[in-house]
Amino acid sequence: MKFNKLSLNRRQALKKLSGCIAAPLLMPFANRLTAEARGELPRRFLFVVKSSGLTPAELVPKDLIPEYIRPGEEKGWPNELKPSDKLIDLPLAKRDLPESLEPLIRFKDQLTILQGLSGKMCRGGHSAWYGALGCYHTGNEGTPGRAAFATIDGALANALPAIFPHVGLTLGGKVLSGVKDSVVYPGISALGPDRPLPYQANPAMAYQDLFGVAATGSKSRAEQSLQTLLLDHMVSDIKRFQRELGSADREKLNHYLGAFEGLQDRRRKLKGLEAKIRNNVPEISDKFSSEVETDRLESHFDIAAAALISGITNVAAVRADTLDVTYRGLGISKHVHGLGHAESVNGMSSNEARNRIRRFHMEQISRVAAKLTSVPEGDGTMLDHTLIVYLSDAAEKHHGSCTEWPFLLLGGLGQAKAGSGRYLQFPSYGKKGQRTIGNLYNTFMEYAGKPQDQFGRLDLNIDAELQRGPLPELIS
Amino acid sequence: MMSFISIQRRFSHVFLSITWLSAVVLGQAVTEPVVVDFLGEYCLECHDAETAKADFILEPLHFDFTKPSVVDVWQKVLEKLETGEMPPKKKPRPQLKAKQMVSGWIRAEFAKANVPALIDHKMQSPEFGNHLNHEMLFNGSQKEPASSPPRLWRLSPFIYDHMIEGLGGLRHVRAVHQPFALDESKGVISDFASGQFAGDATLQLLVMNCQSIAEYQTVGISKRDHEGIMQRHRRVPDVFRPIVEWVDKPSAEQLLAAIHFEYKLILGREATEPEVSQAIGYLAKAQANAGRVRGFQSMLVSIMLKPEAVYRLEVGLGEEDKFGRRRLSDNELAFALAFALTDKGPNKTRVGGNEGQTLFEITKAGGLASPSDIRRVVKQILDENDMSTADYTMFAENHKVRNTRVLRFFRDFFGYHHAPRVFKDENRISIDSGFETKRIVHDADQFVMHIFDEDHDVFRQLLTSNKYFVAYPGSYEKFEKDLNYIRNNLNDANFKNNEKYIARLEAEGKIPIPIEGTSSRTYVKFYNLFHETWGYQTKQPFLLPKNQRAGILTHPAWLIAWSGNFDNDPIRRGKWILEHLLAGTIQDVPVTVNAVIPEDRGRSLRDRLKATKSKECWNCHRKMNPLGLPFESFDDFGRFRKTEMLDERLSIFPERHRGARTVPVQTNGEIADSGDSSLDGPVADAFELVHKLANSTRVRQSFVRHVFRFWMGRNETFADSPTLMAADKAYIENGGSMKAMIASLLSSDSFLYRK
Repeated sequence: MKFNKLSLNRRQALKKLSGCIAAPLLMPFANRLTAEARGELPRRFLFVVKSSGLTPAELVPKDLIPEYIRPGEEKGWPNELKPSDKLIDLPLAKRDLPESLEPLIRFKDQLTILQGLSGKMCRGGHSAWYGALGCYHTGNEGTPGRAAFATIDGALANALPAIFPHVGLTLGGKVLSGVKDSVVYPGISALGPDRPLPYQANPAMAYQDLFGVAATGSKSRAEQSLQTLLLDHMVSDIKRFQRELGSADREKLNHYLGAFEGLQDRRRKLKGLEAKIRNNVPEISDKFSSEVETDRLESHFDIAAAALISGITNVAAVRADTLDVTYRGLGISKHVHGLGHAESVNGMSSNEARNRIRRFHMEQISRVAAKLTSVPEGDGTMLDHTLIVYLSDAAEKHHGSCTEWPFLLLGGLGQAKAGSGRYLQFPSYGKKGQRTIGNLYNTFMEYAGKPQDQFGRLDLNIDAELQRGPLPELIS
Repeated sequence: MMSFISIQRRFSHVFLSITWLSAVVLGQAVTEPVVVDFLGEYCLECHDAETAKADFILEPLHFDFTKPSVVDVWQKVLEKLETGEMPPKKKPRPQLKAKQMVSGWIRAEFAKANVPALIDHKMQSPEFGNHLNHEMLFNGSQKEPASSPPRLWRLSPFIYDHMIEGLGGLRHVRAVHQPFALDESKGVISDFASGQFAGDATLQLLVMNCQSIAEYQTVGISKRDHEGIMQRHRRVPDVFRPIVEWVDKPSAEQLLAAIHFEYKLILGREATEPEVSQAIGYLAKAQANAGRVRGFQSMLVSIMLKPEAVYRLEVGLGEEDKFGRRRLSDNELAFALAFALTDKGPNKTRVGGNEGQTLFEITKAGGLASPSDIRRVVKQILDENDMSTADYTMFAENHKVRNTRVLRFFRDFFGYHHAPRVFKDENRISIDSGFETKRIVHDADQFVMHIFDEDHDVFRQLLTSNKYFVAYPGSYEKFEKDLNYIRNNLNDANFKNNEKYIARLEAEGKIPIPIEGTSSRTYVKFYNLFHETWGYQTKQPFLLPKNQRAGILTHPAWLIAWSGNFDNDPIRRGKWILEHLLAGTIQDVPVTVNAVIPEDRGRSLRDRLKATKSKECWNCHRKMNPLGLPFESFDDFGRFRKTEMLDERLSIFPERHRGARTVPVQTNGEIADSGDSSLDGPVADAFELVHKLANSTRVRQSFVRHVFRFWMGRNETFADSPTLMAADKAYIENGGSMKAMIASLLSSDSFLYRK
């Protein structure tokens, strides 16, 4: 009974999804349903990674500001968090969220404002590149450098397999670039060493990539076996070619081969479900091809929500902007880079403009959360088994020092303490009890059922033991 | 193994150096003490715990390569040694052999610990190219025979586009989408072989494209036209008809012809025997599964998805020489040359006009056997190549931009085509600035390509010429056609305005601008020309005042591309010059720096930039600001100016701000520590700066390095030194011929050999 009821609920919810994703894929992942039927509820992650830093002082609830905040060092710069030598853990329930987070009011009891973690093992500057989600030093001003290990979204994609292990959506490419219109490698996510993860910048293409498998799926058994035949043939053809070629650029052929094997795998998992899925493929709206940044971002959040809800992925990541993006749709005619350098715009201070952008991001996250909440799952809703993680790849400011790295966590994962209506601030860098982003990522791995002791690299200037294991404060 | 060795102090250098020296001389195995001695002699003076230059400390030195912190130190040592960045110029440098031994030892230790050398990864990125010591590349000290690594180079989006175009009307059906992309960062060569691969992200789209092409070649694709009526688009090659349309079973010959046809179309060659039997085997299975036509389509898809259809093959299938290098085979060479010079395959690249042989035929006939043969053919293609491309001819559809690849190099190198991507508030300019800046980019394209075509003193002309194109549609005939349209098109909404404008100009004995609409014509203001009164020049390029324009760096397209939303950007302009013309490097923005230009608009930008003179900023900014500030002679739309308007500016039109406060622009700057002492010193303005740069050997060599990177698709290594020197020499000996430089590069060992 549970199986059927769940299917029905989700189907109804999918139909209600606003915007262009009117009724996306319907329950394509039979294995997962079986798991759900067994009582093992899925776990999903949505990472939202903005550029130019996430200002800690702007995340503090209004009533705590006088106590926790001090003016910025220089005129025109954002306020700062006062250093703290103790763990601060306060409920959000009776507190007013800062203005830019107000769109999340409805979800306040599932929100954790997480402050004070450090990430000094990372590069900092305009971007920590793979380090932000990977916890290691890499790259320079213009390039991401080497993906030395899996980043947390990649590691979770490995731990929570799905038809699409990782769905990456972005406005731009590398951190200093502007809006793009194709597949790009922003250099922030990796599935493993030297396996950078792609992001799709064009919403219409993202739709094709994600839902095209179903849209163009085989109509008949003959068609299915033809697809299987083609993929098998290509895999053996590429392997043969690889043998003939010897060691020349083996990695590039591996990518190509891996892509076919991935497609084979996807088709196997989709077997028998294509017709059902095809009947529910969403229509594309004008917003998908709009050149306005905010339209594109809205489309990306719609696609991410649909991908998570339909179950074709368990890990999605939205690269919310890059430094050359100008939020014209919000009436801000200066690019994020200029705002990061404290330049005012259209009568707004840079901080006001940055708050306006953050508020827009929160509106999008709120929309996704609302969609997830509308789908019953287990004893609660899909949001209870999904964690939305908001951060910046430049840590706490435009040229991040990584001394503190703020996060917003929204949702559940069946962990009462993940997103749990709290303001949680760890002791500052160098103080007793301080923790790192490595601890947080260990926590995420524990949520995913793959606990590990160390994520990425350690900060060698602080106690190694403190950096091991998860954050008990976030474990139920 | 010893886990830790403390480096001996400086006083023991003489004794210690004997150890590594004897290892070099006697060819002994390199051991930890030998390495310690080497570092003690060449590095410790600056990187001991006490001096700790650049916060990099070598003592105590650890050898446990399982520890990441230890590996980090050795990664840095290896990088500095192999790029020649350290020891610095003024310090004694180790012998090449000693250096190689030490770096060889580090690499061996890395290999044992299964640690990849990060320098290898970095050296693949275009941004890292300049880290290789410039002097060592051009002083003739490098004797190693050059070659490139065997490689696969993913098709560029341009080549893919061209391939689709070759299939006929398919482009108009819009059933095929671009699966490949280049990450175009401003001022960076985008199509590097190492950075591009076809993987998971592109395959889905690629498969869909191939299926569409197969349908187009067999049963046709149905699409609704603009009136909503369903249309069928189909182009069936004759050799496919027996399979697709006939009732009888096709003969073996007919099948063979079809397979060869598709191989030739997609891969530019016929199928080999094993490939034919593979295709026939696959066809039988596919048809058994899904019927005759559908099975045939699937076989076509299987050919279109072959790795060769996605990656250019440059592995070196020719003979091996005494240095262990393999030359590119004829086939590989034909493709490598065709794609170096065009986006078309060698079958479609003709040499000697339309009736001439294809590059493929020339190669097969042994016409590219020697480097001098290659140089001759390359030169001929560059002279004749005439590719009209839709993307570069937005405002002049009949104007053919020649040598698209060359134009792409100029765009990548100078970055001026990014001008439309720099957002400018509409309020400031009254209309969408993107529209106007696209016109300016088109002018700049013509500027660089005209200089390339003239092929004389190219680099100097690029940096100093004041012969500009403004609103030129490509030919006099096109000018007449455009003007006639404006004069006679009664239906045009702007007709009355246009009529008055033309009458007024002609009454003054001047020629009108052949652009319809007042607002469109206003774009000439960026050249300090007034659209209402300027008499159009039908013979272009024409001279603009030499005290206002000199070369591409004073062209509005470059100036806008390297500007901010509201201001000039002297820092990035300076950085561009440092990295592109002076072969210099700049360290990353330190994480402790909060760079901000004060917003007090009551002061000039130069004055506000004094904030960067603080101690922690100036170390880097002194290399950039003095190179970028001379361009304060221009505003952020590239208009020449003598005064800078202060305070909040609502628009860029001075006539709307008559009461505005102004200050005279200060244009002085400086070239410092460039590596070329004849170049260093103060400059009065941008004009002196660009002329000085244009005369410098180092600057020219830096240009050669970037040309190398574009055409080789990779960064140079020390082994490429002879190639770079030969290209530079070819350029000089041929009167500043860029074509000779390219021909030299494409006939070099670096291009022809793989190892």
